[in-house]
Amino acid sequence: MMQKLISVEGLAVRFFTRKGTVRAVDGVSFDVDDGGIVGLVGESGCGKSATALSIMGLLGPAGETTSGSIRFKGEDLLRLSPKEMRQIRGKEISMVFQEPMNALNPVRSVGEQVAEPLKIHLGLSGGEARLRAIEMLEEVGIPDAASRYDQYPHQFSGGMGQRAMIAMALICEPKLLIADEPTTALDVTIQAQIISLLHSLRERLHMAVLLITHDFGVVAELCDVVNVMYAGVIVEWGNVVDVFDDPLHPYTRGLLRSMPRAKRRQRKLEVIGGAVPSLIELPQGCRFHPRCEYVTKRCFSEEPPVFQLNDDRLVRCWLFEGRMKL
Amino acid sequence: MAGKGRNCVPRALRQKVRAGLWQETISRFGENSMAMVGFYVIAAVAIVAIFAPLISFHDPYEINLRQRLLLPSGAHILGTDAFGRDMLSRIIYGARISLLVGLIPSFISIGIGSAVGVTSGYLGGKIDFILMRVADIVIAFPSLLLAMVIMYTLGAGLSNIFIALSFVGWAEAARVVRSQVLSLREQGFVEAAKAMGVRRRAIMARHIFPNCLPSLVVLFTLKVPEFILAEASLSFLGVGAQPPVPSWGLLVSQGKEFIFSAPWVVAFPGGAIFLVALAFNFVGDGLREALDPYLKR
Amino acid sequence: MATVPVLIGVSILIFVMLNIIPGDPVAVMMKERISPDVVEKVKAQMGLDDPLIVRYFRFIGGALRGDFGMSYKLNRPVSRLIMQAFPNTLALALAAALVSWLIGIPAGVLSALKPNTIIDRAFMGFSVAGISMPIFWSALLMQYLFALKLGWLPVSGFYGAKYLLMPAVALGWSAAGTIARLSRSSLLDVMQKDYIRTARAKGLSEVRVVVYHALKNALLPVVTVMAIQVASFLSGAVITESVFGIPGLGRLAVDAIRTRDMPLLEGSVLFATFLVVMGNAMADILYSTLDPRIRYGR
Ligand SMILES: Nc1ncnc2c1ncn2[C@@H]1O[C@H](COP(=O)(O)OP(=O)(O)OP(=O)(O)O)[C@@H](O)[C@H]1O
Ligand SMILES: [Mg+2]
Repeated sequence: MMQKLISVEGLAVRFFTRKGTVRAVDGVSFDVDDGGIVGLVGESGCGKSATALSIMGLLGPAGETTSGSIRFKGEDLLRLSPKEMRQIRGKEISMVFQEPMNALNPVRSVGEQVAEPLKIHLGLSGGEARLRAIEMLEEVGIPDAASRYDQYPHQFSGGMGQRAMIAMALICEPKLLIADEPTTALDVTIQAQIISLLHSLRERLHMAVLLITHDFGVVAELCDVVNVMYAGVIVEWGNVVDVFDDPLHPYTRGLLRSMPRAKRRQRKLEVIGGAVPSLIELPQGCRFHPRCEYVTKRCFSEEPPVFQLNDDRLVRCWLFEGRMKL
Repeated sequence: MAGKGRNCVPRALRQKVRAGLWQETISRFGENSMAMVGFYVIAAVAIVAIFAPLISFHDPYEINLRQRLLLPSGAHILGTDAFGRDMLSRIIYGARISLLVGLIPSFISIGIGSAVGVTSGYLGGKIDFILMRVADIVIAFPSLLLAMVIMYTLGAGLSNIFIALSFVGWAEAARVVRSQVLSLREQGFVEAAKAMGVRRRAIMARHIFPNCLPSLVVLFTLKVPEFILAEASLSFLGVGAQPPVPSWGLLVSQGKEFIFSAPWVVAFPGGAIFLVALAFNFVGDGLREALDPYLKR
Repeated sequence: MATVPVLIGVSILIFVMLNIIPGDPVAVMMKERISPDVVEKVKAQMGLDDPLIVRYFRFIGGALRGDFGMSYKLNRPVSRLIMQAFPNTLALALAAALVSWLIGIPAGVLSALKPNTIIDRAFMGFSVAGISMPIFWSALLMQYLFALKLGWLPVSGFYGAKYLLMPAVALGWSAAGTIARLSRSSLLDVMQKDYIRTARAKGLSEVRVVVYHALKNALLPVVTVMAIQVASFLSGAVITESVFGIPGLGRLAVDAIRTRDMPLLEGSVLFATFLVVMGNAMADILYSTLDPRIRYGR
């Protein structure tokens, strides 16, 4: 087996707001292997970004990681000092965000922003950093990178902006890239280009990727392993192929059914009924029960534990009671 | 149309939301201690102003040349001015002027400004262009100078101050309202009302104007101290209220020659202006914070 | 640009306001009682009998050549009086601007970086105080304390840098309050932006995040306001100049009103407003050179 690069255990994230405490992440555990690529899927607001930001230590003033551990190369990131964490960010672990146009500083040139980590982490001089950044911009497929270096974000298209973001994240050749919905804000054709770019860069740089998305299609194309997240917890974990062929959790089934497929002649597009519960007041019992088509009496009162089906298949649902309980 | 169906329910619903808006705002405002202090100061000053004849021991106009520039004492708590008039009574009566001069032009200028802004923003086109150019011209003037010129033309006196300040102030309100209207005009409920054939004037009055209210409330509370300061400045310069009216700005102006021998004749009335302006600014800031979610739309 | 139409509008408004007063300028000029015949003759000579529109074009024609007529009271060309006053006003405006920036920007930035702390509260308290303070009052109190009681500074007049200190602080403080509040809210806003999170995700130190990534964005809108403020100092330091006896533009306007000197008032107000309009235009230009989004078009 490959070695674990990062191992998240029982992670919990809370946001403290005027309306109450948001339990955005509520005991999430998963691993990413060295060089592996793991998907984290779920509807909007289920805590995907919160998980990613918690790993980066960037939750901001309202958020707090209240429990759990994040072991990266054997060290718990949650115990590092702010200074030690800064040395990891951008160098060992990088992040690409959803909307390139908001994530780039509008008043600094794109090139400067891409080159910045080199200066900070590797102590490169301005000239060296510039050359390296231009190379990187070329590598992510920005034509005429040398002259594009001095342009500002608003002169870039969304797709080009996201390429620049990727260049910026990868310029120090990190071990882990967290890509938080890197394609959601882009056109479909450009989405495909970005996905294949990520794919080829991963090969070359031998980095691991945690890919966050609500698009199962993207996961199917890129990932080895997938975590399905619902309302702050992971409800299903498994090999991408297995999960696709045989989704276990009713939520995963719903997600897959709601996905338009080219192969199966576009049936009626199904959606999961009901709405994502408020993470301030979660329903009793299973979080999914108000929307579940297989709901039983027990689901109303008792929260299901994680059941293990075989070596690499986990699911959090009473339907699978009797299998091995983790 | 989906919007049509949506519009049928919201009439009642929107009213509820709006009631909720003010309730929520008031409770959030109440949590802001500075704003509450400001509110109590204003309330106290207002009570003093209303009941001035009952509260003051002396006639603010009574000249007594044997008691000129007396130090604060038991008989004259804030001392006397150069004509031997009781300072405290003059300041108490002056509160009436300051409050009126803060409130009335604010009402008038925001009233005119809203009418202009709603018309301009909703109708657009030539009318909008003309109205906004006129507003540009008024805003281009340094406001105190413009007020001074108007006072020069109309002559000194309290009622002319109302006119001058209203004229200076309407343009800014018009701009604020217009920009709000422009964004509101595109919103679903306005579109829906239009689709249902509601008349233009009714849309402006019933659907658009009420949604501008949060910004106008904030603008109002911030205009009041501005106008209080403006009146004080005009009176200080001699083109505002005329003696013997106990306007605070005039009191400071009359006291300034005696500042070395009797600094209190400057300190107290000026302090009164400062206190009231500060209180209104605190309330304005508090309201702006409390209304924040409704202002950014 | 809308500058020219606005200036035309401004000139019309000033002219109309000052020429519809019933008061008789000739009577103002001549202190003694004179026969109505003479008054009529002088009026005709001065062209005051012509219709308003003719007089407006005469006025604006002169103004374009820098000729605002003769002051009734001082009997000197208004333009000369304005040009004599302007350098004093300029000196005061620049000094006040310096005071307001040196206080306002650091106060606003520190407050935004430590929101809701004692530092923030204190700075913001001072800012609101500055905005709420009648300038004539703070000016008089300063005169009392620093000139009369302590004797550190001259009371009034304008004969050198020393004379500028109190007026600059009096005028600059209220502007500093505005700048501090604006920089605070602007920086608070910017610190919430996605690109600040990106900067942090790169592993930058907090200082670098603020200085390199946040400040320029946050201060862009403040710069505009600062430029407009300088323009308003140039045109509207009426009170400060009066209290401290600085012979500048504002004083000129006040004196003109006091002596009912119509050409002087007309000229000084038009000139002051011209400064404001130009100041706003400059602020726009400044903003667009600083902001790459505008510099390189959208
Ligand atoms: N700064 C914050 N303050 C308060 N609540 C927050 C904050 N950030 C996120 N939340 C809440 O935490 C929950 C999880 O948010 P998160 O951003 O992780 O969702 P997500 O799965 O990334 O969704 P999306 O697909 O929309 O990005 C949501 O309910 C959200 O409202
Ligand atoms: Mg997200």
